[in-house]
Amino acid sequence: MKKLNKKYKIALLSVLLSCAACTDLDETIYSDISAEKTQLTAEDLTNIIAPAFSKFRDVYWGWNGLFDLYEESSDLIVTPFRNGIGWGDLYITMHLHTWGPTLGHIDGLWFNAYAGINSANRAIYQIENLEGIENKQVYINELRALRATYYYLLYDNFRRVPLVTTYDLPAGYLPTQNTDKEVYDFIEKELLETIPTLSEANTQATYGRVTKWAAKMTLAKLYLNSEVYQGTAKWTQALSQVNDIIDSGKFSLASNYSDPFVIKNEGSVEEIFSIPFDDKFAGGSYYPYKTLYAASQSTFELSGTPWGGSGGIPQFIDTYDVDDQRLKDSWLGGLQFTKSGEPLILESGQQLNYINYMSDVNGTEYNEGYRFVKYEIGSGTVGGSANDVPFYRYTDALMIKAECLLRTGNAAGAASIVTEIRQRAFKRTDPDKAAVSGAKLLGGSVYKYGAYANGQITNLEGGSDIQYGGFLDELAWEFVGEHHRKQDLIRFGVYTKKSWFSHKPNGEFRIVFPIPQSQMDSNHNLTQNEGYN
Amino acid sequence: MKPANHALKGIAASCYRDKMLFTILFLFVVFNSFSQQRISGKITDTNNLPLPGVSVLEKNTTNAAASDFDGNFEIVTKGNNAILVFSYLGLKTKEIKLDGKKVLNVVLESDVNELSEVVLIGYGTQKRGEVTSAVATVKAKDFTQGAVRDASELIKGKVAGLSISNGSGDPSASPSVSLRGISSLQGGTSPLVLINGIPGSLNSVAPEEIASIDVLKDASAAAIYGTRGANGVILITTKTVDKDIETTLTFNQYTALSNFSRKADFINAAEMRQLLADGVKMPFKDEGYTTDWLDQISRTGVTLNNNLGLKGGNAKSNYVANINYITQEGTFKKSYNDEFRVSFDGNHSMFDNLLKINLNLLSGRQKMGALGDGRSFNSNIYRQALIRNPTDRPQNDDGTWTQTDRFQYSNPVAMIEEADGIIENDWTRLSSTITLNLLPGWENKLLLATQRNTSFTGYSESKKHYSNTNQGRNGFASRGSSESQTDNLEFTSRYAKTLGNHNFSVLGGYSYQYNSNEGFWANNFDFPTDAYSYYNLGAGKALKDGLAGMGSYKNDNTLVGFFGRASYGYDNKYHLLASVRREGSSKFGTNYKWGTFPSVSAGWTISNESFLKNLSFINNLKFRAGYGETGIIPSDSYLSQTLYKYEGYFYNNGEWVQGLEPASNPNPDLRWEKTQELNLGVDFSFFNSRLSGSVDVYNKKTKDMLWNYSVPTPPYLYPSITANVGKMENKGIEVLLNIVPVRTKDFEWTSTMTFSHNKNKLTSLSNDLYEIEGNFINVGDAGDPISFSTHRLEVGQSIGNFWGLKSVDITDDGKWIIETKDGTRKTLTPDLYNDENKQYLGNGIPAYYTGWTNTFRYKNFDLGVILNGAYDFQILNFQRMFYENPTINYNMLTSAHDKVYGKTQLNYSQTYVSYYIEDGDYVKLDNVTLGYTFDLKSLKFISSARIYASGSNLATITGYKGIDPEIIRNSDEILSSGNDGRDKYPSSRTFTLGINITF
Repeated sequence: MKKLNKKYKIALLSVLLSCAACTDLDETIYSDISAEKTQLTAEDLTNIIAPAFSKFRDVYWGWNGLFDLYEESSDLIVTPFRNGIGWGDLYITMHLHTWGPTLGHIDGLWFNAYAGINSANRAIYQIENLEGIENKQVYINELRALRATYYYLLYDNFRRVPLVTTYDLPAGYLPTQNTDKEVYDFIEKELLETIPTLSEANTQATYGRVTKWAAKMTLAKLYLNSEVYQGTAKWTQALSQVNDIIDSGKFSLASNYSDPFVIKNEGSVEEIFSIPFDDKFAGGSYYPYKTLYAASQSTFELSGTPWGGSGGIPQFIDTYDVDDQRLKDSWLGGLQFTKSGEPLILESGQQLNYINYMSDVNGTEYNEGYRFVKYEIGSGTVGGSANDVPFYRYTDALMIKAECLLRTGNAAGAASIVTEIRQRAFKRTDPDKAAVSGAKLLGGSVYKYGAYANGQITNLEGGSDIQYGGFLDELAWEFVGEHHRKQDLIRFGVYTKKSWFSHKPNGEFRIVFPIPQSQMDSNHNLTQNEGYN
Repeated sequence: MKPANHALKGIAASCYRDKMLFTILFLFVVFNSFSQQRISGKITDTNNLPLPGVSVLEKNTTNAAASDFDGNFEIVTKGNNAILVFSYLGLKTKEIKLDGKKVLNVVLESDVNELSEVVLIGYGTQKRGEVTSAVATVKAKDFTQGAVRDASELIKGKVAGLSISNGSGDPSASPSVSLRGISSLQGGTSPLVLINGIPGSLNSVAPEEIASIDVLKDASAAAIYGTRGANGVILITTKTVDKDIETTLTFNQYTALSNFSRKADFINAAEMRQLLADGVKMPFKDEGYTTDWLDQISRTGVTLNNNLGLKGGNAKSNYVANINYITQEGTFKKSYNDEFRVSFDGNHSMFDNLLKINLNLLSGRQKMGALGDGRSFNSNIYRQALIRNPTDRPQNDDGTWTQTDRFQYSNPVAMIEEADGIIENDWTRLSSTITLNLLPGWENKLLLATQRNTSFTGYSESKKHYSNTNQGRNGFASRGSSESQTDNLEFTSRYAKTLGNHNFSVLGGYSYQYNSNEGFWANNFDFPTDAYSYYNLGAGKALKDGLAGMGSYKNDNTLVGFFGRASYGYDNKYHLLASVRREGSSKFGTNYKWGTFPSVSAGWTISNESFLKNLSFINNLKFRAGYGETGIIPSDSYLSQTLYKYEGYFYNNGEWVQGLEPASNPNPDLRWEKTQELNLGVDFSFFNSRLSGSVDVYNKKTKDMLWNYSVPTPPYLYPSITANVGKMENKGIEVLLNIVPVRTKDFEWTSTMTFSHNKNKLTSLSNDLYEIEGNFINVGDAGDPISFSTHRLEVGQSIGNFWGLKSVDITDDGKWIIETKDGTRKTLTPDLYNDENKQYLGNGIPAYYTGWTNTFRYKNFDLGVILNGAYDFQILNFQRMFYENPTINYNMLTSAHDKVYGKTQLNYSQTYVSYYIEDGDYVKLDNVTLGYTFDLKSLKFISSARIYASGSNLATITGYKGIDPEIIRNSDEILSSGNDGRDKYPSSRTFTLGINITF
């Protein structure tokens, strides 16, 4: 018995000791990729730079994307609370300028823009360490210019943001904010340095990429708003950047206003920099669902029921000339029909009728307000639409030129550019109306500012006192829904001064958004922007 | 046995011959000889089942016999007026003085209340009297009867501190189980479930197959399970045989009928017409029909359960086999759950018990209806039935389904009729245990087990489903499958020795567990025909169009543990127990691969001290104290690693290229959540065990709690990281009382009461590396279109606190008036929906739970009555929040037109205010079972039979206005505890009729 016992003990001990797996706790990874075990090669180049670009889609049409920030805090579009439907309360603070640091939209912008910046930093770092690639600097410079574009968006909305320019950071590093001027200077420097090396082509290979012209647009925007940003106007610098674009001859005005917004808009002659979308690979805009009422599903043969939603502010819709083609190209209003042309009858027995009328931001009926349909809505749209976002288009370059001319004393030059652009809008209705005078551009706005409720302006402020108000109106008609309006209103001094619909001015500091609470929570180095403490 | 009997008979015969001589001897030796008698009889248990193998001993002699297969025994006594001692493991030993009787029919009672009851403590057993930590045991005879869904329902309300919530009527849903509050934010509350020592689920074995359930409640008991022990351990022991037994066959059958216990009171067609006639603005017009939509989609659910058990063998070789088939219909149409479960347990011992081999097989197959893609219950069907126009009809005259283009509004009958789906789960577990008893008291055990769970899902929607009529998908189908495999190896060596009054035992062991999970799914749409259902996925056109979906995955993990335990007992008065586990997991980061989990506990049985021995009313009084450390392991594999993923397409020169980017941050410090728990307890038994029970108090501190932190990028690669930071405390008290108020020959009333109280507090969410500004996070989601968080998680507060707007009044035009924390009153508008105006509004986790089980036995009748209750908590009534509102675009509760605060009708869109938070306190008549046991002594082939009728969820005393205050408490939604979802599968009331027969 004892012998057996001993033998048994030895056997057992040897089993335990010889069994290497007994204490083996290594992990085997199957359907994920281990960073440590992945060796990047030159073949991975496109995959490496891809995230830096694809994040731009999230910035623009991610949930609570850039569109809302620029349009819904402005005097053009609002998402009021819809009686019996609900959910619009998300956007009410945006309209009323009562947002705080927990506003979901600013969180989205910060998060997604930095995701793009980090992806660019990582790609630069990885490319630097890759072997077998010629012209590394070409890729790196394009990524730097792209990164500068993300920073421009952050700067326009938050000003004091941390400049992070490398990927290889020590553990425990927490970014600290740079000053307003440092951020401005950085964007300018990066663009000026990289522009000479960027591609001058406008082909399929450069579509969605940062070319020289795309970078110049960002730089032009930086200069255009320089007076707001830094207190120093840089109209001539802005003008020189857009002149380069115009003079390049690579771009021209599309024959129709809506051409850059159709589903298959890639390759449009107007597009300087676009964010490519695709219904299979890169779904994006949910806007038709956000703006349309449920029953409009049958007008567009959508594959889902819209939840809508957002509408045009009646005071703005009223500023359009009835013959301006852009009103119909941008807005859906009046009695509605099905795709086949039958009247669209609701359960109540009435025909759906979008009316240019709103009650109050805290409560509107389902059919109040025109719906923004500038982007073509495809039938069967599943979730995201395939329309690319023409982030910078040629008209924008022309209008920057016009504004610079207008502001530097050449109103006639400005008027001729604006007239050229307006010709598209009136060519089928009343071509004579296209012409606009320099005096009109210099004069006030036709927007009837003032508090508005239940179809009535209750306290008229008007727009006649707005300097270059005529030009501001032109910007709205041309660029509604194109991430313009907030910036334009600020540059023209209207954003925090005028009332519209339920909105009334709520502090000068609102030209800058607060640092998102979620970022403040995760990085104690950050300090809050003025006015939000 | 037979030869021995013959020998005895022989001796007896020769004695008779020498009668004369003995007669003479008797004159000299008064108390001898003359009394030699042959005694015979039958030994049965309290259920009148014959007991074979019972030892029959003439007291103070070595004269012994044993009962045969039929329980019959025969012994020739030697002494005058001998005393016979009848003993059998697990039954009360009985001494009977002959007093001239020659035939004895002996009934042995079970030994449950005695201190010799065997208690499982993990990797071994102890006698109840030796236990030094908080361990609860419930034996089969005390299980709840009727249509129980799984093992947890057998013991609901019978274990203090174990809260089992069962708010869903879904036949495929499992009750949610938690022990001693919530000690993890993300790790769930589910205790570790071990079936015969191997991890499993509460549903793995048929309830009929379970012999006992032991619950290791405190850390001093659970620490031996290391990183899996912090939520407690439930040990399920299946029926087994370890003695000579006649082959017996038991058959159990029950039939149960289920209906909704309560229905939400929505406006019906007649009421709608009246409201329209009264000129009330309604979202619908009168379509001219009368439809009870809930009736259209529901039914009385029928459950049939059949169980066949077979056991037999002898002390050396024996077996238990069980076959169970249950078919359950849900109260919603097409909702069902069919399960087929088999188990086999075989034992063989050889070489004079030197070697024992056990083979155990558990296997099951479950089939459930699926009315959602991969989900058994599609809550949207129920929602649509509630909110649909009661004056509409299901089908148009041409047979098509009625449908409108109202937002999120579809025909619930069509959703049931035009969808088809299945979920099939299969599980097989094979285990074998080899036990070597090398020396007396030294036992070595090797356990090898492998378990495979597979799941298959299929789902399809026809062309008449709204996915086509409304969304143009033209037929949709999906399939999925998954498989998980777990291999266990466990070696334990145990040595026990008794030296005089000293009892020692030591245990050492090693355990290895490897687990892998993998799966695949695909979907497609745009099918040429509905005929394929989900069987011909490739036929859909969407695949060719690049719109079909597909995915697959695999992950694995390894858990390795070394453990040891030592116990010492002195004179049944003092008991000490200490254990330690050293455990490592592949899930942990490189800096913390191994953790140590010690425990120590002690017990003092003061009633065995000489100064209390004389107090006869005290049967047992024992004080216990224990301390232990346990853990919770991160739920997912690879959380400590830097992972990359391909995500996000990039348009590169006319082609879409995938991006390569980080998917997670490295965290070499990732480790277990650590819970330290101190437990003090007292066990008592007074008045001949008529009053017994235990009281436990505990203090549980959790640290290194896992939380998914948002982190800045850079320096982090990915915006979130799972890290060990938080701290939490749980304190509580548990009381168990067993009372026998009446015990006579014909009538017995036993009563078991449990009471528990737990207080939870989050003490930290930050450390140097990770921080949450303001130390709070808003959690829980009211759901579209109410864009509100429902709860707040804040340091210094309890889990489950409601956070929102406090409504106090209503304006004349029906707008809410809220009160802010400083007492300011404001008329509510959406721009006030921010944290400054919100405050704490209650807590959704009951502070107190009670359970009260009563068993009455009158002659052959038995009656069980079970009352369970929960107190001091609030419920956010989602049905009222969404549907007690006259402004909505859908059907509503009849109460929608009631006056709010007795003043006026509400004229405000759906929102989250305290008006919808209600006290949830309740007492529920959970189960009543009446049984009758037939007297079948005269029948040869049936040894026992019992019939019973049972009702569950019979009545509830509560002020809560919703369907059932016993709400669903999902493990992954603990942070928003107290939310009573508007679409939850309503709980059902069930009536059962059953029969148990033993052959």
